Amino acid sequence: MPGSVQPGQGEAVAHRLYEKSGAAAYGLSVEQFAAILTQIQQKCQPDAARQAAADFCASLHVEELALARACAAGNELAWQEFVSRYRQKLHVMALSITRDNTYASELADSLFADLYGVNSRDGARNSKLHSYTGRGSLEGWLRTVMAQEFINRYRKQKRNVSLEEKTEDGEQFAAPNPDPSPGTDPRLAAATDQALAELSAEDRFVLASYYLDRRTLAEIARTLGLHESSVSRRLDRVSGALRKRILACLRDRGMSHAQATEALETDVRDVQLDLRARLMQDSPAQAFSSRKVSANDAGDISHG
Amino acid sequence: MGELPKIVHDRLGASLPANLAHAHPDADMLTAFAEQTVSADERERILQHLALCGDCREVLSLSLHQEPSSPESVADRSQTARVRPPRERVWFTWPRLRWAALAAGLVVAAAILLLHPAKQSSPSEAKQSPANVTAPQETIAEKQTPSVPATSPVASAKEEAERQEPPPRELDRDKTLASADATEPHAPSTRLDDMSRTRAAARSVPQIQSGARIFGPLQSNNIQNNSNQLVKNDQPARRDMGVVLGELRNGSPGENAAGGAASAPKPLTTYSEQRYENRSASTEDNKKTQSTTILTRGNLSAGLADERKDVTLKAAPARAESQTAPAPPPIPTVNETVTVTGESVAVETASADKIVSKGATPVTKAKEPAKELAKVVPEAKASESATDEWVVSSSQVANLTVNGRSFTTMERLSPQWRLSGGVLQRSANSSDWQTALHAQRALLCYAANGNEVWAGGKKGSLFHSSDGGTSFTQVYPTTKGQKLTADVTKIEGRSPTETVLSTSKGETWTSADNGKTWEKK
Repeated sequence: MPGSVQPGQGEAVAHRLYEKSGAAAYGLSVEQFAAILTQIQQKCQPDAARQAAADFCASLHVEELALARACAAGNELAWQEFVSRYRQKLHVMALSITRDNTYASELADSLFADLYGVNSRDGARNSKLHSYTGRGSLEGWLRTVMAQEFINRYRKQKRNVSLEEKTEDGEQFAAPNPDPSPGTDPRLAAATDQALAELSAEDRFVLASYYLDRRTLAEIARTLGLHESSVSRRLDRVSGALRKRILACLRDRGMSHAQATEALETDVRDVQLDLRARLMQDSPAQAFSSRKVSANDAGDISHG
Repeated sequence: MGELPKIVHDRLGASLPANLAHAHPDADMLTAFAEQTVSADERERILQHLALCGDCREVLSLSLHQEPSSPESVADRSQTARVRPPRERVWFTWPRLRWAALAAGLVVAAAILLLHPAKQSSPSEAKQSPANVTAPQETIAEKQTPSVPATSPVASAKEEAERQEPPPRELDRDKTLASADATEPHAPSTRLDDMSRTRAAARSVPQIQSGARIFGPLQSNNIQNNSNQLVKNDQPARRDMGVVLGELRNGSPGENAAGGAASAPKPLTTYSEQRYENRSASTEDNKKTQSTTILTRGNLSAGLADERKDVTLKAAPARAESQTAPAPPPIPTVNETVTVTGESVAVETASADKIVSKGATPVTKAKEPAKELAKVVPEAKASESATDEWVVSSSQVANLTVNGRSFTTMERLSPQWRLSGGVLQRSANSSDWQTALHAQRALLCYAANGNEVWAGGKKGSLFHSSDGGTSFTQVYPTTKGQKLTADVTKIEGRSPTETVLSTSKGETWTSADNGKTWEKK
């Protein structure tokens, strides 16, 4: 571990982690392994002190890191081990994400190819396993990578939708987006942005996950390492505090309490009506049919 | 959690700022964040990005998704995700058992209310009991009012009693009875007075023992069907049966003839026939109604010569709203009939709440703590007025049977006896005493067992009555040429026919044939 760690101390740490990782079984030398550790430490904690760097390196999943890097280097023994460990798990991960057996197999095989590095750059295999740093478990990393691959594939497929399919979906006849907020008071948006900006990152993450992503309390709690009840209480607290803060910001911008409350609770977009659609839906087939209006009726209408 | 305002929702999902658009955390960081292995600074940075980047939140959510344990199960889940088999219903789980327990409790409560409705109103019923007791009195008072026309059947008994003067007794009675009547404070009968007298009478009847059997022969051989009436009232049916028939003592034949002539047309009730018929059906359901029995003693003495003794209890409305006519009204239809045959009468009731004597006579609300046996207080003028009526309140008339029918509790009606100044006196309610036997020699002892009454006095004077004291016959016990001359100090009636005398000389005279023959020991 050159650089941040003293030579004597760094070598000792590198040797200890090297022995711990079992990289020797995959044909990695101590120098190669130390170089990998130094690279990772420089990337993640470039300004860390020596001891902090040593602690950081000690916190890595060195055994899985050695396996991944050996696989990326094309070690057959490492690949056998990797396949035996994660081949089946990759399929399970893909199936849990896609919930479709065929699509899961396709996703898992595609990821496995990326991990193997079928694409070559400058004559060398470009394996995704090179990006694994050992910060988390290799299995978790594989799952995250697979999730990213799934989202990328979804976006690609969404962009590749044919015009016929769009036509069938009626997208080509979609009305242009109306003015986003024609009647919204700019003070309300500013006050809301200000109140949201004042929230902590975790509070805003909780709000976004619950109200935007429609995640469950259990999912949010598992992500943050909290209990569901804690998340629930936090949601209540943050929602109430956010509402009060927005009202306060609106009052700071010259609104009375009643005006601020009305502006916050009543959004003019809520009362927007697609009059054309409503008229077409509610009116009879022939709104003004061939029914002849008598003179008396016409007179009534005109006078009515 | 309530919904956020729409503006907050929109601003929260605003597009990622440009400075963060290309700074997505890599898979390593997200994995480390998900596994809680990042430092605080890194965590804060990742959270700031995740709070704004929906894509990374999506990746993080997918990476955290729990996968099943085996691919087969995943495949099965994917194939059956949309077609889930119906969950097997487990009925005996706590959430269902909880509701089942609640439903069972409601059913039990409803059953209790339905089966024992009167228990719910027992306090009020207890409060109302004096009023119920007085109802027959008012009824009788109105019956005795000749001025009230019979065409006012709807008038309530209470109003009638308050507005009318108590009618004079029209019955033929001896002077003793007349004087006893005069001393009785019942004339201005008000409800409170009646109630107080009822309680006083109830306290003053210790001689009627629950479960006492009646051994004395019933002298009224033919008790007409209209001699007894069951006056129903509207009380709940909870009250147990409280009908008592006891030793129905009748007057002499001559007296009966006179009294019967006078009392035969006596209005037992002036109830509206129609109203009573409407009630008679419900009378059959003895558990749901409470009845009041009126026993007309004068009518009981109608047929003394007959071998057959019939007692008929007739049900009638307890509240005598319609009884105003002075003339004897038609007797209501017999609803419950009790026939008494044979020499003895044994009447048993399951329980009785009260037995009320009619009119101005003391009324007793009998209560037996243990067996709830009925008690009967005969009218003060027990010398057999034809109009004397015993009003027995009960709820289950059907339980009353005599000889041919069984009774659950036996009660007896018997007068009380005492010696006062060498004179044998009798009382029906322990308050009004009348002379039953005044011999030339002072009486020293007596024994009463049903209608069999013995009285002994000085110098071997011995008297016997087989009609409950109405008439006495002097007996001269002799055996083997010896006469009873010593003072009779003790008379013991061991059975209706066996009598044992003890004299002042230590002699013991025994008769096993009701005094016809004697043996001296």
